[in-house]
Amino acid sequence: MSAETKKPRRPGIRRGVSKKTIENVAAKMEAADKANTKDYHVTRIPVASIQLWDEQPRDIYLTIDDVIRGWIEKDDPLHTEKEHDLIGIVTLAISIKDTGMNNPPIAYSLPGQRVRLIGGQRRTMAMIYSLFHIASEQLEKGGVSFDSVINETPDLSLLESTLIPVKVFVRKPDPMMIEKIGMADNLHEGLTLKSKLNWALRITERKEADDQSIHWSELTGTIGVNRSQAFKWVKVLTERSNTWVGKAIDLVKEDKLSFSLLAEIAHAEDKQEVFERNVGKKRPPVDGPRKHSIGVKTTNLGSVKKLIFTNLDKKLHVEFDSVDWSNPTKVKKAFIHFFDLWEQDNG
Amino acid sequence: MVNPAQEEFDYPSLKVLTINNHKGGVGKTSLSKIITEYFLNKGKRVLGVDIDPQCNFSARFVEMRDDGSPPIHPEFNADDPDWDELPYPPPGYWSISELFKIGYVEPYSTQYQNLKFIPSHKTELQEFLDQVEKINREEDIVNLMRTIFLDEYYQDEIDVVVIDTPPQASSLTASAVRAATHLLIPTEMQEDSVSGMADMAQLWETENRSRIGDRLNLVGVLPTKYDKSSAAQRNTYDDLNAEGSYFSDKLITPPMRYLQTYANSSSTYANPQSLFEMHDKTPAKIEAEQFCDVIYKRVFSDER
Ligand SMILES: Nc1ncnc2c1ncn2[C@@H]1O[C@H](COP(=O)(O)OP(=O)(O)O)[C@@H](O)[C@H]1O
Ligand SMILES: [Mg+2]
Repeated sequence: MSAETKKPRRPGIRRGVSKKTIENVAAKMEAADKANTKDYHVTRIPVASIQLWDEQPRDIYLTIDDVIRGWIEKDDPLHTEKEHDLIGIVTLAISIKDTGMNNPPIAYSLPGQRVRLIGGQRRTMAMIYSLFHIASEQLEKGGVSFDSVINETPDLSLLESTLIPVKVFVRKPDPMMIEKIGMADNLHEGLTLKSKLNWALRITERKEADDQSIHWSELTGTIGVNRSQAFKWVKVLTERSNTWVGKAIDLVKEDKLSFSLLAEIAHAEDKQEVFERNVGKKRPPVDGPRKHSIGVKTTNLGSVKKLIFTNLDKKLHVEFDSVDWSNPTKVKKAFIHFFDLWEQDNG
Repeated sequence: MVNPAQEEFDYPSLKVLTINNHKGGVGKTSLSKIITEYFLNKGKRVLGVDIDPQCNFSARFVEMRDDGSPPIHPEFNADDPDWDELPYPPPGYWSISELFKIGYVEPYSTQYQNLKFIPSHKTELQEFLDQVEKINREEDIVNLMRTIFLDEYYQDEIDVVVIDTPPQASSLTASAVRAATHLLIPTEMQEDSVSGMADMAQLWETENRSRIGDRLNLVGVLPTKYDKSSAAQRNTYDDLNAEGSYFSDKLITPPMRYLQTYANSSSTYANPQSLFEMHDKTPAKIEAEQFCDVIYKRVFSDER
């Protein structure tokens, strides 16, 4: 080994990271360190006691009635938008049926036993959908496949009898906090560019109403963009009343323009020129939501075992004591049996 | 279906150390290798997991092919009918992208008896990453790794998982953070790295707020590529370490200095392959043993 060599020195302009930066980061780390779920408690409550939202958010068109019905009425004026939402919900419902609701929705408590969601609206809708319209089928090759089968006569009493875990905030947090928690939580749920944009616009408006302006750090923590992206976002948000930026924002919401082009337009001196140069051009269509394959097939034998024992009443465990968990065929049989039992219990 | 209760959210004893910083080039991968080697030397049964499409962590322990795909799995046998039940993705390899796509993966054995490895896959993982950003990101992608590590196999066969992450934030990184019991943040002593830690703080806070079970432990912040001869870096280090500063008991000492030995030994063709096989007087080896020991003790702190 040769002697250790040093990185060549460079003339420094700064004398190190400013104290202010360090203090700022330290404060954030400390807050994170102290943060815990104690502000919440996790309880299981009937689906019927959950209120999805204060007012319908601008980026979800689907209503609870649509979800319970399982399909969108032909003459619904929002047919296209709702169909689009529903695809996402069905996919999520399948994974919830398959692996369970692993990430409880977040809510704050209302008088009585009721709660209102701050985060996890889509998951909750998917949970409801899965109660009524997801059927499972044993695959010949092993595993289970789940599919959406519309149940024309949904049994609404299931909403009363099915409990789901919810993280409940003891006190109602302030509106900004609700927005932030909701957004941070929704990151786990999958956010489209459009919802991020809607959210960021909403926050900006709210801040401006208070004579404040949006800061990049509010974006990094919530919509999951990095710092350099966040600067672009801030530019877009502050330029939003410019005609061309406004038009570009609308196009992004319709999936007809990429965010990077929007940012380019917002940054440009001559916004109209950049807009016309880019928007006139044919662009490849942006992909819509796709079906995912995770969880549709249960191939992991150990997880099947876990799934069964986790979800079954303890006194029924004996029925599975003799199963050879390393044998896929046996595990498959066990799963069918489990599912029968589970359905008897849970409808 | 019913939600797993709290005890089903936490691993009974498995430790999962995720090495993460959204910034590239801070030494995540080099550290992942060194820490893996150190844990092995301590007699732990380790699972290495690489979720960076660059595959550098994988290449240290698994003989990756030139196109950045893993080799055929040694236990793959095309004639065994049982493989129909647990189909190997063609042509008979497993990578972390299968874990995300089908929820199942078979770790590879390595040259070290106590090391299993789930390699990355350059093209498949990159493709999956691109796709996942477009679809409604399913919540189970974020929860997936934890769900899989809850499997008996990992609980029984492995003591500690070491996960190397890619520079950009994505739902795969979120999955690695969700799966983690411990988080290690390497950072350079420079403005953008230090202020970039605000992102990590946010991630940590969100994680702590949304967990049902045990909190995510911060093993610490390890200063990397530290150059004492730079006044700027020295000042930064001293300020972070100042008495009363939040970081003073989070900083891991000694820092990982900027030393050519690290760069050399991170090459796939390095000889010896492990820093710890070098001469005892090698400065990089000496300090690595010290900071790895701190990390080791913090990860296994609850053991008798
Ligand atoms: N302490 C160090 N001193 C000198 N070079 C280093 C050190 N740590 C890492 N390197 C080199 O820096 C580059 C980036 O390191 P790497 O571990 O790949 O970072 P990351 O995984 O965070 O992108 C590599 O070429 C590596 O060899
Ligand atoms: Mg790396």
